[in-house]
Amino acid sequence: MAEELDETLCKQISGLVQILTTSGKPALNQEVMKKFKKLCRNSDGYVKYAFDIMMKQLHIKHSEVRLSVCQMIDELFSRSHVFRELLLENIHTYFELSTGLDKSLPLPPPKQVAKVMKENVLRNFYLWFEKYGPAYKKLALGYDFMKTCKKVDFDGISATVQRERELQADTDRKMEAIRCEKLQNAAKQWQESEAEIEICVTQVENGLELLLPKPDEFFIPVDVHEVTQSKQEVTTSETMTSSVDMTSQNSSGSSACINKKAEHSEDISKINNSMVDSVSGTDSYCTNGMINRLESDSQSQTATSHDSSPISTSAKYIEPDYPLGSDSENDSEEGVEDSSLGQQHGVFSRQFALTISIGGPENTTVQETEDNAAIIEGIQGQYRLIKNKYLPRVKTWLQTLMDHKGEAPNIQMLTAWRDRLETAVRKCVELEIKASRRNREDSETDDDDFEEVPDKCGYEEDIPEHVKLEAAMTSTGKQNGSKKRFKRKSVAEKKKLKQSAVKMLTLQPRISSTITYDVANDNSEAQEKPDDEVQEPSISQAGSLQDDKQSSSSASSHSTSHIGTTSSHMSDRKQSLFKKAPIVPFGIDIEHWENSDQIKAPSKVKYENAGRFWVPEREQDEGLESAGPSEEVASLTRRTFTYVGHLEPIKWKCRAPLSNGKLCERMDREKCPFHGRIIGRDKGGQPTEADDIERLSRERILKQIEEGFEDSDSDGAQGSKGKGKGKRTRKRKYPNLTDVREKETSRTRLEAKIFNRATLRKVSNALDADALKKISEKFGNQFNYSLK
Amino acid sequence: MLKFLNRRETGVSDPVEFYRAETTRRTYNLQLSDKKDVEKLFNGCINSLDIDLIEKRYLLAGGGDGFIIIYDVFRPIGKERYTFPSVGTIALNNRHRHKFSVETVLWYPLDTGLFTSSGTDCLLKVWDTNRLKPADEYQFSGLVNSHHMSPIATKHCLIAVATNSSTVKLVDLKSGSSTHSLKGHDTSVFVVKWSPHNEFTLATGGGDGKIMLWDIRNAKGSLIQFDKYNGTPPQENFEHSSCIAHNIAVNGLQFSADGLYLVSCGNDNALHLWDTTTGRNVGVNYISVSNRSKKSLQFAVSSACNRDLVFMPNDTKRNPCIHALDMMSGKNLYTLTGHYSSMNCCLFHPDFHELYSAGMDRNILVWTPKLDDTGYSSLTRKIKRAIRKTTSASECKIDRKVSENGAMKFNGAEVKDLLSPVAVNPLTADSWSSDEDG
Repeated sequence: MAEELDETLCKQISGLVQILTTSGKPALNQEVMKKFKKLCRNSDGYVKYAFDIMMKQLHIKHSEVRLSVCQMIDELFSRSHVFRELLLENIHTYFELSTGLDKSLPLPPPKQVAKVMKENVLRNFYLWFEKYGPAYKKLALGYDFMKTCKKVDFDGISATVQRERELQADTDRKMEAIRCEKLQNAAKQWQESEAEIEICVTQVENGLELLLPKPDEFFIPVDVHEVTQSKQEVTTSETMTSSVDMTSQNSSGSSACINKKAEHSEDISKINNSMVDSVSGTDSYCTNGMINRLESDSQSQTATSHDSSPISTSAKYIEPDYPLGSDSENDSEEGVEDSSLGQQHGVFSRQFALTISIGGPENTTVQETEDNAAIIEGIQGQYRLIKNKYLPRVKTWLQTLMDHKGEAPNIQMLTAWRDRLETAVRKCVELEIKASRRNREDSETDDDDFEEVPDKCGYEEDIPEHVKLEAAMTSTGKQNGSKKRFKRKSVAEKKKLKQSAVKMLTLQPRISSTITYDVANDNSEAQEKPDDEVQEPSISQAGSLQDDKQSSSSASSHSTSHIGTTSSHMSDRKQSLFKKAPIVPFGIDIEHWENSDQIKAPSKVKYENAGRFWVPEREQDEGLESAGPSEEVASLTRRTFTYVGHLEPIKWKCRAPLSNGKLCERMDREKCPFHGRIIGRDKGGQPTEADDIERLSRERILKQIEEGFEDSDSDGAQGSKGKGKGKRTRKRKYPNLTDVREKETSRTRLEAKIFNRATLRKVSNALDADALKKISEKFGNQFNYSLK
Repeated sequence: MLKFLNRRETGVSDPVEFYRAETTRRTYNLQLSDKKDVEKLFNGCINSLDIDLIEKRYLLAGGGDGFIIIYDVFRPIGKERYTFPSVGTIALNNRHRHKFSVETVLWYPLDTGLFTSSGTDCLLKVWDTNRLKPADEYQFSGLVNSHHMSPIATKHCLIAVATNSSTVKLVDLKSGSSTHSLKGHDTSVFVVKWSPHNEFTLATGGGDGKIMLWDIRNAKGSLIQFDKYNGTPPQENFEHSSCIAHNIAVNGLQFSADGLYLVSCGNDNALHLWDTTTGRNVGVNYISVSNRSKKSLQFAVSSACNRDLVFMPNDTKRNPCIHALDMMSGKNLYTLTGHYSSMNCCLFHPDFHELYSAGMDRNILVWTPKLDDTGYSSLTRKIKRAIRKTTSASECKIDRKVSENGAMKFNGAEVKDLLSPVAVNPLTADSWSSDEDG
């Protein structure tokens, strides 16, 4: 060859061929193959080199290797012209080694793989012929030869190929039809509900716009939701041209923000102050205070006293029906802190940014008022519709379009719609319109009631969920009033964990008081129901007999503290539990249910004064057998149950792949003694569940590691002791390939025995002796025979 | 080639020189033709091929199941792809056909109206080509391995027949009877060949490894017995007292075109070149070519080359191929692969410089000179330039010169073909097909 080949590349090629051919897998590793092809692609020289190596590999007497080589050849054949030429030059060798058409050269073991290979090669050859036949004379000749002389059934192959193609086309067509149908369906649905969605989204958007005008619409005097705000405020904001983006969502927020903004320029603040001064006293006070605080943190005003009073009043002013307005209180508190932090840094523009960030959390909630209640309600309804119905639907349509290659404009349109819906939803979420404030509060209190119940070491699992819920509801219903108030507080507290310490301090006493109340309540309940406790054992018995008395009683006391508030519910529950409870015969364990530690092992009666002169040894050292009583007690209290369930006949098999290519046929219920737990497997015996696959691979790796250790161990042992097991397994060169070495068959075993030299001698001696005997009987009197 | 053309035009060089050079170039560049094909009619192996000597147009093929088929190998000008059609068939429906396999077919040297065939049914048949009926039949005691007629004979009309018996029979077509029998071989005779130089000289090769040269005018004994050791066998070789050509049976003989040399092949996988005038082994060391067939093997020797080639089929199981061996040096110049099983016969077409080969795989393959893309494209470019330069008169001259010689006519046709742009097959053109995944 004229061109010089790079040695490293050649080495890589041969290495890759080695890897690919000794994998022992029925299919090639695509990644390695890709690499290999890339290397071959460098130049024709490499193709030739690869070809030579592959031909060498093809001579290996192992069908798995040959199969891999044939697959590689097929891959390269469809790629490279040079390779085609080369292969056609050596087509005889190829066929001889891969098809076994020559009877004198049968294919090497393993037989199954050889069969697969033969079919594969002939099929591929047919495909080659179809594709390249006109261009390569030799290929056409070879096809003719195989067909006419070797009588290869290419018609059958072509038929199967044809059938496969038809099937493929059929499935393609079907898929296409399904795709079209799906697309059409989606489009149809879309068209049907487009108007609906449109209306819905527009409603939400408009509603939101009403609630929260955009900056450019800010100046439109929409007073619907700003009635509570004084006219002056509005004018103040109007004077400020450096306008606000998210402010003025609600009255308090806007005022706070405006104030902060105003502070940015002296004159504006002055104007503001003057303007604000003309507003109601409380408000002006608030703004003044805030401005002061913002200007310097070390103002003499104590934050607590000043903050809480004015802002809480403002909250009241905004939302009179709201009991405490803790939210707004906290929020303003937070805002103050943040702004003061900004000011410490003394960054002007940063402060501006800060006002925006404050505006976020502070103003995102739309306070429900009488005036905007209708809008909010409407938006809530639409929000629910969008969230639960339209958005998922649009998403599914979009998905179907994406999956089935819908038309681009459609997809774009749907994407736009999805975005629109999503923004609407996001806005709603941001404004917390999703559920009305009151409803949310209620649900949260309920949830909290449950959270307070401590976990009862598995006991409560027996109580049906609905019973539990009911009981909880009634209990809370009974003690609503103050408790509910407290709950709300606690919710607020939970939500704002990062609040100022002052706030925490103000809240602390209340919490502690309610908690004490709760505890007291519990205690009283526990004391109220002594009879409940008596009945508990049966329940706990139902749960678990092993439960020790103490824990179960304590658990029951806990649980009853909430459940037992109403006797009627209790009885209901009891009834339901009784229905479930199993009936067990009276026994020693039930007799001593309350005091299980007092069960005594039956003592043996010893006839010491029965006049026996011989005493068994065992009885003598009775005292030493201290382990006895507990065991005996256990044997007394242990109960046996007969299994009354229906035993399902086993209809499944292990189906783990075996070394001979078959699947394990064992039918066990849970676990195969050879392959472990029975798991879902596919046709080829590979596990289908992801975690199973992972587990198996992990186990395999562990096993390999162990084996490696064992090997090294045994090596070491042999080296040091020289008395190892001597069973050292010879490491095979290619562990992936099936071992095709001559295995011990019955024939070889028998041969070894029969044609053993000693055996042969024995047999011949016996025959000789027989013959001699006969001769001596017949011709014993003749001298020549007597000579032997 | 162009230089030769120019020199021929100016009369500097001998016309033969050009002819020889071009023939050599073409003969040395044979490859499997993907344009020319032979109609597939055989259901069994093909044992013999022959081309008629008059027009060199009709290819006669004899097959294993008694088939004899005549093909027309003239390609109509302008046709790119061409399958040689059969113009006459003696098939199963012909009641006169050979009952068993046909071993040899041969045209009557002087007329295509007659041809002869012989087979394992111990018959030699003389056929009337037009009626496809035997005009005469000769029965022999043994299987007929081969027969041959002198291509140059004017004074006799003898067919030499090699049968399983040790004698070579000479059948006179004029009298319709066997005139001579040549005794000399110990066992069956596999092959007979008349010299193309001397009409009375006959070479025979037998199963005893002997090759004998006869002058049929002297039936007493052979003229020459070829000895591969040239009379001085190595000391350790005792068993061969008589002079032998091959260690085992000789199954192929071929004279060079001028009749000065004889090439022989035998079952000992050896080829030998003999000087027919002195009877000496020239001692060319040919490569060992597997040759296991126990019947006559027809191999080909090119003609009119500078150094003639021997086309020797190699019937190894794994890689059946035809070796193109330099006759005088024994070097293997190139190898032709294309058959899928062993070959029985090769035939060199002296005018087209084509090789026909056939064998057990029921195909007759046509091997044509390689139309080297690059070489020929540059050549055609040169020719075009030359044509532009030369006047129309000189063009006429070329044409006239071409028409002088029958062979040149075909060369001219080839050149014309060459002038047309070479169609590139898209499947073979690219080294890596475009569907390669990155």
